[in-house]
Amino acid sequence: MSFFKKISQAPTNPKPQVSDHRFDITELYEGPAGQSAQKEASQTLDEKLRQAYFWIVNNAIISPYYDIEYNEKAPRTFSLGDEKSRLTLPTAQSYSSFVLLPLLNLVVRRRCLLVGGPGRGKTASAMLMGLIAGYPIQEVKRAIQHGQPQMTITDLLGNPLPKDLVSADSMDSIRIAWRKWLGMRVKIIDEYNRIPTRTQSALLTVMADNYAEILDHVFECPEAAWYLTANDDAGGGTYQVIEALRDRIDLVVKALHFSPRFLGDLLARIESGIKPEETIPPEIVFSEAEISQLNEQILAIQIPLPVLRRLEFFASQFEFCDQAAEQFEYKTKDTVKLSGLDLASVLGEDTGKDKVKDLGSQTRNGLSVRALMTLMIFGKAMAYFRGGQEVSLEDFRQILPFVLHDKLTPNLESPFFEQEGKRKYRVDRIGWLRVLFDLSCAEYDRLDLDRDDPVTELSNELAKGLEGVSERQAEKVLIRIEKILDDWSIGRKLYGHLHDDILKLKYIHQRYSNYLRWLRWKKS
Amino acid sequence: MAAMEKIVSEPLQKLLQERQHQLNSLFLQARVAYPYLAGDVFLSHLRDTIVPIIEKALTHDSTRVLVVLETVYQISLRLVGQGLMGPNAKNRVAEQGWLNLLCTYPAFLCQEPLLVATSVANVLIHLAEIHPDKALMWQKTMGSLEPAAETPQEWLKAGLVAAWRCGLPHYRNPALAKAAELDSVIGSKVLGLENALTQDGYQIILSKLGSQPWVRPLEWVKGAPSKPELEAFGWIGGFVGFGGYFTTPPVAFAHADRLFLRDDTNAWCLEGDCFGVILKRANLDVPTSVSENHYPMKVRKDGTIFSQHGEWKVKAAANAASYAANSTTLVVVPKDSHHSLVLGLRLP
Repeated sequence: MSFFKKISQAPTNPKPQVSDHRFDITELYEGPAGQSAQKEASQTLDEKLRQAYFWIVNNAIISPYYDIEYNEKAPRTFSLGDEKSRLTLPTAQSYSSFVLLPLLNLVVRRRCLLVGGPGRGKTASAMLMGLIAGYPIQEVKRAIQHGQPQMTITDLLGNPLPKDLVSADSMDSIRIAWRKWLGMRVKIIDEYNRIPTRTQSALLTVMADNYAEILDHVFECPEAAWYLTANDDAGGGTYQVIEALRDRIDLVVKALHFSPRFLGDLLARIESGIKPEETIPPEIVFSEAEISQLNEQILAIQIPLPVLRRLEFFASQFEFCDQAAEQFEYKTKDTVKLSGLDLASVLGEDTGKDKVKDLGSQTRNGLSVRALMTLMIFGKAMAYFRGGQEVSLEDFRQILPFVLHDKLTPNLESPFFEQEGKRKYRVDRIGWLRVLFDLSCAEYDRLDLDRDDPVTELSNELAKGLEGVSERQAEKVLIRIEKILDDWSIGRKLYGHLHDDILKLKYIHQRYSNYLRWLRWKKS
Repeated sequence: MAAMEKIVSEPLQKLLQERQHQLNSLFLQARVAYPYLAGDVFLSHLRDTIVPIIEKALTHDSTRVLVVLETVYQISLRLVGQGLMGPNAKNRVAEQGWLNLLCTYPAFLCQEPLLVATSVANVLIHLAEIHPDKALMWQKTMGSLEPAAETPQEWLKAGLVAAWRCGLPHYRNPALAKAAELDSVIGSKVLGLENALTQDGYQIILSKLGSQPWVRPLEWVKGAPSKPELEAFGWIGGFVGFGGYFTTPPVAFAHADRLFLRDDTNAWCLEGDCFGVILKRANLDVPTSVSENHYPMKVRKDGTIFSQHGEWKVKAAANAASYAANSTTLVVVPKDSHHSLVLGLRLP
């Protein structure tokens, strides 16, 4: 009932609806005094999720940064300052990443890192997520794991009961007092880069495999949304964060500075003594079942094939490294890394390719399966949040920089970063990743792959199955593949996407030749 | 709070002092949502309305008074903030009705503070916006249900039927459905019957009300009309410049058994029965699919109205510019008039 507990009755993302208003006399009891009764849960979960988002941005976190921009029609843009920085006024509902992404992380139950200077609301935001997941404030506070240099595995996971340690005959009879946070659906690790390396390894097991282990005893953790905070973007703190732990982080969200233009709001909050975390309206609190249901609904969102194809094209740009090996399969940056050679110097060798045009030259690595899975899940979550039935290219474009933030490492020695106006991308990773995706889409359009993509055609043909394919048909496919490769071998430079296409053609060729061999064997 | 001390009882004064910080904080929060919410205005509302309600709740059930206070206080902040209650409200009928009903039913308020306080406030505000008399009538009806209604839910269900009777004919069908769920004693009261009907008698009256919109419940109890009658129920519409609905004289037409009036800019659907007539804004694209020849009631130039049930002479219907009818209702627009005459057919 408190004003800070008030949820707007207006739909958060109104869409045109067919008017079918029937007079319902119970409407009389609804009105300016508020909702009289607990209305039946008629609102959909996506609406509830949006209500939660808007409550947070309006009442809890003063975040005027609408950096996830959507447009329904061409937006107005302005060039400001000597740098001609472009400001866009979005024409569709746009969002603040610092609020939206942790919320999406809550419902897809992944691992989100909140980075930014002290006092920017990272821990408060993570706490809000715990409260929205239905935990009482005291429980959320108790469950936060505060990273500090003396943190031990026992501090993190729990300890064997001292009495059992003395009297036990075997390891099995030692009971473990597990820390309560392990069983929670929201896990908060504050300042994770201050945790000693050994304890980080224990944390990794919980994060990666969802269980904790002490003295041969195992605690199975439930599916949970993780929130980690760090002051340093690079993950460096008191201790260096181990690579595997960093790799497990699915999403990186930046906590931006407080805008002094909103000092009045802050003052009102101080004067009234309002603590948003104490005034969360029950309408935006999700039960465990609701979060599971949300998760299912999100996974049911479709990714249209043309969108998926562009994502494939983007992802295929980065792993390829022509100079890394003789055999096609090993022409990867991973091969160079494993050899111990300096990747930048290998990438810097002259291959006759335009290094600015080659998107692969901008990164030091390729995309992992985990990164791609996360990208697709968050793409779906974004589409779901916006009330869509399928993921749009723009959904991916918006979510991609936050998912790949720590996944794609820029190769700062690439000539791309030397170009006029591109130097800022050495620092601005969000902007760089978005530009990278835009460049990839532009290249996709230039190659006209929506209409002319023989590899997709052959893949679709193969996907129908080989059963019933005649010897002649199989031979035709093999000849077609060889013809394509012949064409490509004439004067065409090798880029990442082409490398993947070639390997796919080889794969298809192999499938058909094996099939052909079997057909011939059957005949003989 | 200092100004309150002399007019409040000692226990309430103590409670207000204990909760002073919380209540002041709520006021400041409300100021964020309603920047024009003035302290003195709210204090006046607090003194005139909130305190009497809480005092009454305190005498009824002191264990529930805190939750009642918090609820009523926050609803008041919202309503005074919107200018719907308090000294600056356009009319104070809703506020007066709220005060009276919550003081009459402290038991219901203590039982379900949020449900009762918000529902009563909302319905009174809706009715007062249509006409203050409707809000007064509803308040009177609801005030008379005290011994019969045993729970707040039952009382509020009766309130929906009472609202229909106070002149909201567009809620006729859902209200009849709600009325069928009521106990006959309560149902009879909300329908304005002096004596309670038996359960069977009550259900019969409801079914008659369902089929004949223009015969009042009391008339059914006293005996049905002896012969078909056409009653002029009243005029509706008017020029927009004088607080009416139409910018130009409207044209009447029927579509799908419903009656409409349309001027140059808007279309309105006429909803009416024995409890009132109202115009609700309609889609301008409603097709005028029925020609006058197919109306069950027809109007001649001399003002004679005839149907299969009889013939009546109505002077005001002579030389009508247009008219429309369904099986029970006739609307006639006289020449060059912004008003329309609504007539109801009452059958035995």
